[in-house]
This record gives sequence, structure tokens and C-alpha cells, in this order.
Amino acid sequence: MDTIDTYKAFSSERFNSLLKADFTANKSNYIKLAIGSIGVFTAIALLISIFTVIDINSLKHASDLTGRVLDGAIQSRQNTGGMTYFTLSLWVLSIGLTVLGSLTFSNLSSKRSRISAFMVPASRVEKFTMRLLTYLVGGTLLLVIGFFIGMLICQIAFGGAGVAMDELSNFFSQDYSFSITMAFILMALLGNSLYALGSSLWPKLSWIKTWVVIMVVQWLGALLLMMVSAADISWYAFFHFFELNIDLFEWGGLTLLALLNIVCWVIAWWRYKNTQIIQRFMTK
Amino acid sequence: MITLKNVYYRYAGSKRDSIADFSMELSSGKIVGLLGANGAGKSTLLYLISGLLKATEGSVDVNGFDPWDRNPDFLSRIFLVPEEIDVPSISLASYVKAYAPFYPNFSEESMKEALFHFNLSPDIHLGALSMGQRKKAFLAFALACHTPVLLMDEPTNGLDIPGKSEFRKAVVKTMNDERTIIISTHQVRDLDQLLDHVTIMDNNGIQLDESIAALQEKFIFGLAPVLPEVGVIWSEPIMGGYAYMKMRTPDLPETEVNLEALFNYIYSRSSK
Repeated sequence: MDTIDTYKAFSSERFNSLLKADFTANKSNYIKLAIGSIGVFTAIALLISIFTVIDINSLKHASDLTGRVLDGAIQSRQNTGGMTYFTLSLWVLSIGLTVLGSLTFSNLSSKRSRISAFMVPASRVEKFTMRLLTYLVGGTLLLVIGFFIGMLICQIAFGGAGVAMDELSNFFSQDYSFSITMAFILMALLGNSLYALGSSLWPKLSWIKTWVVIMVVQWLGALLLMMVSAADISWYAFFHFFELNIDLFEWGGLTLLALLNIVCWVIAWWRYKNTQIIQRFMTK
Repeated sequence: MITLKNVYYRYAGSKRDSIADFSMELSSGKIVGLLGANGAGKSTLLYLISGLLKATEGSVDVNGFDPWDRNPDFLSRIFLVPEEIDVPSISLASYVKAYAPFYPNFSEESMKEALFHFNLSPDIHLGALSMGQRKKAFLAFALACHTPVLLMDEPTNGLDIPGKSEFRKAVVKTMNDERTIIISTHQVRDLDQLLDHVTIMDNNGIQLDESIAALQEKFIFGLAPVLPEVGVIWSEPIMGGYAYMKMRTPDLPETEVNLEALFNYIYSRSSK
């Protein structure tokens, strides 16, 4: 049997073996994840298709609509269906990324599984990268595949993929506001990285725990905002400055989002690197 | 060589050290029995040696590696069999194919032999086995990896009576001069005639650290319907008489070490 060179800190051969071993051991979990990811989009597409097809059929049977009026009405229902699918898909994609984030370090959720994970002869970097690749890259890919399968269902059922496709290409086109697209992508990735950080801090019931923490932080933030807005400040001057420097705020906001993503991953790595077998929140 | 120097470990939130000022040196080629009552710190010690815990103070060195670095080279030379094992629900063949390449000394021959000892077929599916059988399969893999350091935490827990006996045989079979096997247990009878070194620890540290040969030279272990009149340092009533321990004089023949008697003697002495 071929064995792996153990001297390097990062060996592609060992990394491949780690991926293979992980896939072999967790095959059923990954299959469930794939079915779940694709299933959500399929279910949404089917529901929208059912309602849209019923709606279109009822239009066709209505005696008062004929010719171009009917065609226009059908087109309008197709557009609405396609738009609904696209909007819901973005929402599912965002939630899906948080779920994937919360699963990133699920292999550290029990003492037994931590022993298995830590004792595999691979470096910490390799193990961390493997989880990242599986849950961020692999998981996102599954969601994207799910999105297109759903779109295919919409197209077959009521010919509504065109609008969703248009929305998608608009989303990434130069004409569309670049900063809005970037902000959406960075926010979605931040959802993933925040939940991945949560997963490194509390791998058990990670999604719920992270959600609670985010909610608390959001409420505190809202409270702070209310206190600031109630303060005796010249808001006109602020908004005037904001209007004059809109680009600065746009780029500043995007940079902040990107930095927050990086900070989350750096802390997650630090936590992963220092995790001991007895998982307490702060180990001495 | 495994060296621990003045090691301290305290779990977060705990008021006392689980391991305090602990020093130990183990050369290779030994099967060491790490004995102690529940909570004596045996598992903690194994976790420190395997790099699963980081010593609060002091140093741990395993064949030139700092275990806490969790260097892949180090990890490929050490195998830990925890008390409760975590194996995926896949066939044993798939498991071996996936994980054996990480261990340079893995031997398929040894694996087959160990499985034969444990009365298991190589075609088994890990998900379809009982807890004891899964442990046997995992032990077979652990032994077949031929890592220079093999740590086992309560390995006989969950094994049936023939399994315990086969476990002893399988361990002896894979032992060599380059290998150090540390078996932590509180079920001392399961390790009878297997060990060549005994370390007994409690919350205050090491209470005994001797080779079996030295113990045989020092003590006499016996069973008798009536206690000997002189020299008995420890005794316990058993069915039909007494188990006892006494100091050995050169004129008396050496006896097998009764680990349970030795353990109880050391514990009774340290609790005084």
C-alpha cells in the first residue's frame, strides 16, 4: 500500500488523501447535504411552477381575454413566476451559506469526533483547508447547481427561466450598480464566515447559537443607533457630507465587509488551531 | 522515548490541577500499564502525550516531537485508541483504504492477523457491528499501523471475555523493541501477564513506576487459606482465604505480579 510523505507541512498528496478519507467516512452526510441543497431549490421551483401554471390555465379559460391581451397576461404571469423564483433563490442562497458555515467545524462537535479529527496524520492547515473547501466551495457549488435545476423546472413548467436568467445576468452586468452586487456577495459571504466562526467556537447546535448571538448584537446595535439618533447632533451636516462623499462611503462599506469576512476566518482559524480535546469556550 | 517534565494540566473552570508537577520517562520497547482510579488523570496524560491537550506548564516530548504541534510526521507515528471510539458507518475495507495510507508502517498482514485473533472477517461493515466488535476492528487497525507509540485508553472496556484474552495476544504479537505501548486502565486484571512496566498514578502524581521484573524481585504475591504470620504488607480476604503481598527475600522464588493486589497496596499506602 502506498503511503504518504509526512515531512511537509502542506503536501498535496496528503491533502488529496485527506479529502478522499473524509469523503469516504462522511459520504452519506454529503449525499444528504446535496439532496437538501438541491431539494430546497427544486421544492421552491415546483411550488412556484404549480401556482403559476394554475394561474396561466385559469387565464386561458377565462372567456374575456383573447389574442394579444391574453398573451400579455400570460407573459406577465411568467415574469412574476420567474422573478419570484429568482428572489426566493437569493434568499435561500443566503440562508444556505449560513447553514454551510455552521457545518464547517461540525466534526469537532463531540469529544470522540474531535479525537478522530485531530489524530489523522495531516497538518492543521490541511485539515482546516479541507473543511473550507468542502463546506464553502463544495457546498456553494451544490447551492448553485440547485439554483439552475430549479430554473430548469421553472422553464419546463411555465417558461419562466428567461426572467430569472435576465435578473441573474443583470446582477453581474456592468449596467447594474456594482457596489450593490458586491455588497450582496460580501454580505452573503459574511453570513457564511460568521456562522463558520460560530461553528469553530461552539460546534454543537452551532447555527442556533450563532443566530442568537447575531440577534443580540443586532439589537444592541439598533439600541445604540437609537441613542445616537436621539442625541443633539446636526444630522443635516452629516447627510450633506455623506452625499458629497458617496463613493467614499460605498468603497468604505465594501472594504469593511471584506475585512469583516477576513477577520471571521482568521479568528476561526486561530480557534481551530488551538482547540483542545476538552472543548471549553476559553481553555487555559 | 517519551519524556514529561514537571507537567501541569488544569481543565478550564476546574479548581484543581488534573495533573500536577508530573514527570515521567519511558524508553521504547515496553508495554506500560498506566493504572489509576477514576479521575486520577490517566486519560489526561494520554491526551497530553498525543497532543490533544496542551500542558498548562512543563514540557512533553515524544520521540523528539512536541505533541501539541500536531505535526503530521508525529501523528503518523502515534496512534490513540480512545475509550469511546468514533468510526464511520462504512465497510472495514473502505476504512482501511482511506486511513491506512497515512501510516507508513501499516501492514495488511498484521491487520488480517489481528482480525483473525478477534474472530472478525475482513469483509465486515463497521455500521453493522456491535460496540464491542467495532472496538475490536478499531484495535486491529491500531495494532496494524505499527506506530512507534501506541496509546490505549481503557481498551478492554466493552470487550467480551474471549476478546480480552485475544486482545492480550494481539498486543504481544505486534510488540517490538522500537515500539512503546501505553495502556491506561482501571481494570487491572485485563492486563495480567501483558505488561513489562507498571505506572500507578493518583491525583498526587506517580505513586509507583517500576518494571515488572523489579516488582517480581521485590515482592511476593500469593493466595493462601491462612495469612502467613510474618512479612505481609497487604492482604485482602477472598473466597477460601486471602490474597496477600509480602516483601521478597533472596531465598524465596519469584512470583507472578498480581496487579490488582499491587494496585490496592499502593492505593492503600498513598491514601494514608
